[in-house]
Amino acid sequence: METILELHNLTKHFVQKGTFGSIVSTTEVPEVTVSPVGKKIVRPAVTRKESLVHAVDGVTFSVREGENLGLVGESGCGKTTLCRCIVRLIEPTGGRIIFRGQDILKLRSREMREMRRKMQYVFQNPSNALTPRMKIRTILEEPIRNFNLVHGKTELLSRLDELIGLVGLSREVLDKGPHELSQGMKQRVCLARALATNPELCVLDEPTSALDVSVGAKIIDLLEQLQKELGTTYILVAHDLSVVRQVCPRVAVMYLGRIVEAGPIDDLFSKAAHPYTQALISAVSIPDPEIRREEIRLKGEPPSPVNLPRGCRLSPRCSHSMERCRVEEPELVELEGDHYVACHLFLK
Amino acid sequence: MGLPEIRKSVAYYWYVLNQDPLTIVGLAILASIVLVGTFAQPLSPYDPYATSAAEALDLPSATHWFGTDSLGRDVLSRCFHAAQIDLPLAFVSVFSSFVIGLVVGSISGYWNGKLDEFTMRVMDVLLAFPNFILAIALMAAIGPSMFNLYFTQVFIRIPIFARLVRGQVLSERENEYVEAAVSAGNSSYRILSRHILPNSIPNVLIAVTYNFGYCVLNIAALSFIGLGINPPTPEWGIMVSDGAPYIMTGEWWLSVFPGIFIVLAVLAFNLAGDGITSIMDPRRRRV
Amino acid sequence: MHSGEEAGHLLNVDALSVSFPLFEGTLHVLDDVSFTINRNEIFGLVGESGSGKTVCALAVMKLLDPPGRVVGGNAWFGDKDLLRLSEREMRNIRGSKISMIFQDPKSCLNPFMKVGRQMSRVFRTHSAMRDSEAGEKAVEMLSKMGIADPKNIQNYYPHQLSGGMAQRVMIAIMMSCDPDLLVADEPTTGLDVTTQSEIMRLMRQTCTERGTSIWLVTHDLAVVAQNCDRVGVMHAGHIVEIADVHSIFRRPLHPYTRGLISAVPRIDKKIRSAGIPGQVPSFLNPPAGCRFAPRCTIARDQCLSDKPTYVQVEPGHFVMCHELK
Repeated sequence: METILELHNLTKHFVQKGTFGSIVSTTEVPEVTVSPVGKKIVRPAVTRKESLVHAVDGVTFSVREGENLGLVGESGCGKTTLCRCIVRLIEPTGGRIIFRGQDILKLRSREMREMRRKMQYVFQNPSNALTPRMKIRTILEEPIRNFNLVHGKTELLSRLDELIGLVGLSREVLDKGPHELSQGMKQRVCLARALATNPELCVLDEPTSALDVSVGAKIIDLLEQLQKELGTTYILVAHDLSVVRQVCPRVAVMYLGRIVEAGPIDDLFSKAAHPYTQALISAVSIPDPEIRREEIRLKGEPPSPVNLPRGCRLSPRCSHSMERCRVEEPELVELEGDHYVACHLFLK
Repeated sequence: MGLPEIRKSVAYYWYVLNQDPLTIVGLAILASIVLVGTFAQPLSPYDPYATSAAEALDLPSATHWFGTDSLGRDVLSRCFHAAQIDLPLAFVSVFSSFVIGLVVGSISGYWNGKLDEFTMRVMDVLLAFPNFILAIALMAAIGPSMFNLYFTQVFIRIPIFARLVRGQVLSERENEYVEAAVSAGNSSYRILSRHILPNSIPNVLIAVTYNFGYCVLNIAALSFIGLGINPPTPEWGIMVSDGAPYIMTGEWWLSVFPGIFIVLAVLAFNLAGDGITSIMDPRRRRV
Repeated sequence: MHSGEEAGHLLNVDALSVSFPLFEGTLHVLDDVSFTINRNEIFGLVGESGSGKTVCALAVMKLLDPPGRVVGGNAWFGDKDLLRLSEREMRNIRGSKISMIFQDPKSCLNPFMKVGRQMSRVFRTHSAMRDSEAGEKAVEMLSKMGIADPKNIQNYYPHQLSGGMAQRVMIAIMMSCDPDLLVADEPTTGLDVTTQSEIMRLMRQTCTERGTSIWLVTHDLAVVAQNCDRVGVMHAGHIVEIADVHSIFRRPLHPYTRGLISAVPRIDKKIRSAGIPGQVPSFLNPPAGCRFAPRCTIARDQCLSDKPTYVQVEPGHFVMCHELK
């Protein structure tokens, strides 16, 4: 299988100016100082001046054509930022993004606009992703028109019909506005918009988390069906591992801006190597009261992406952490057969 | 589901407005004043400019419902005709101001670079002056005339609308549908005009409605101190000003009636504005 | 069904009906909803969005926003019918006998007040305590809720807390008066997976310690499976099935329950589900009979016209369906 996307050391830092409510870390011991008048000042461990939020910190992976990749992690791990960087909705601070052999970060704005044809994005909450009060017809026409995919009015109309049928909606939807549709229908429209250009890569940011269970199941079904018909490769971001299980043969787990483990989904589920992956998987509830699993708990709260711990980012919370973990950050290495992990337990 | 289609109808809007009786009152007053102003000529019993020394300072009576002023002019007729000056001037100047502020604010908010910083600092300087003081200063500098009055009213409001629109654009810009529009290959111009602005304007329209009221007050106040409309043109502010010395001697009707019109006009705009707010923003409705 | 004194139920909701009169007509949201919650039990009310589960909880707590109105039924709490109490009497119950926590804890806390102060205020409202005592209790509760460094956290504002911490604060506040019943409306939706399980564990632990029952309102079947003792499944304003959690998952009887359970994505295996056909019916003109009938694969004509009654298939396992007699 050909590699369709490669990320090399992708980084995204946000500069966070000191504001009244800057993020505070709670696992660090607060700094206690004494003012000139002898008054004890307790300051939380985050300085309030310009701080760097390390949303994505050196991510490297590749995606093969036809092999969907699932990206999982909890809030603050940077997966959403990473995805937006991949399609350049956010400008990365560093690294390279190679799409079909071309570094898209080097493209200028007009060339990038052309490239968007091949890389599309589906947002998490369909209510926010559709322009309020704009007719569905207009929303779907835009990608078709902007990329000159058809010639003439008749072709445009037939393409619209085709698209709307592809996602299982009726033609009447075209003349409605987003507020007149249910969540499920809105998400289908978002899918239709993303697939209008027949992209090679489609990044989906938690496509079912804003939907009901039964509606989400249909969307997942639709995704699989569409992949068969159009041959798009998906990158699916989810905090719900169960959803990823349905669609992606390969998964990467993120924690605080780095990938901690990646590999085939079955491997990860049955023999997860990284302590964080183990904790994550054990925390996922299974809809079966008979199956009660032992949960692996992590200590404390996730630290803020501003004040990162030295060494391995999980070390303050990890029950296996050693001396080495607090000093040196582990590299992502191959365990066996495409299963990679970044943990000192496996680095010799 | 059928629900939202019905909601777009006039009947529904009427239903929403009906939830708050004051809104209906406001709209009714506004409609009356507009009608009175439009049909001032046929409705007025007398010529607003016709003086009559014999009838000067007459109490309100059957012949002169609002009495007469110091030059014997019928106060009622003058009040009606004044509506023709104040209301159109307020409408046109506030709308012009809105349009200019819209352009400035949206460009500033969307591109948000050095240009935005500079523009906003200029706006800040203008906003630092109380509205009315700025109006006085301008009118004093360029001299009272209808056009100058219009110009001043437009000028002093541009920063307000520019700021409001910019704020809306800045916040709309962060929405996902804007990112989606980028992803769909749209040009910046199209994103601003077709995606962002239509969603930014409704909230600003509310400010437009209550600025109508402020504008009427502003014009009246400027005329009161002699920097607005010139006599003998009937205008509520001038009438209040002319009648002020006579209050002491007991001839209250010269100032009070035009004063009531000012109050009613501003009140009407504010109440109607509340009604528009509840139509625009479903969360505010108590339905 | 009779007063809650009988059979030792903590809460006995009987034939609750709620409507929303709107411009377009009346939305008949809840229709004859009945269920019970026992002492020391975790009851899960499960349903998708638009099923009316939140309306149900708000109605019982008398927190329904106008134009919503209760148009029938009782909610027996002990010997009192909550729906017939005055606002004043209800206020005495809320917070002290029945507490409620919501989905987005940060929006339930006062953004301008430090968290510790909010907590001590609540303590002082429901019991005579001095300021310093209440402050100490706040720190103690924060620590019990698993918050590290409570002395510092009490001085934070809600927006400075993470979602999980804010929810812990809410639980601390709501449990401070040892209520008999805790109503939790989607308490973990929107939180991280690891945080979700932590919060659920915390709730279970706190409630077991104090003998508080939990009424959990959620759309997440997995959370229900792992945490609840008894389950009620809601669809379009009807409770279609009630049973203990093992029975519901082992032997789901109602077609909707079966469709729902089969549609939940699982991490341990790949599922093949077509979802549930059709859409939730509109509350404006709901079907006269069973509200699930238009979507049901085993529906007959009778189902569309006659409203089914509850049938007890096994002890404690009720289904609202014509087919299952």
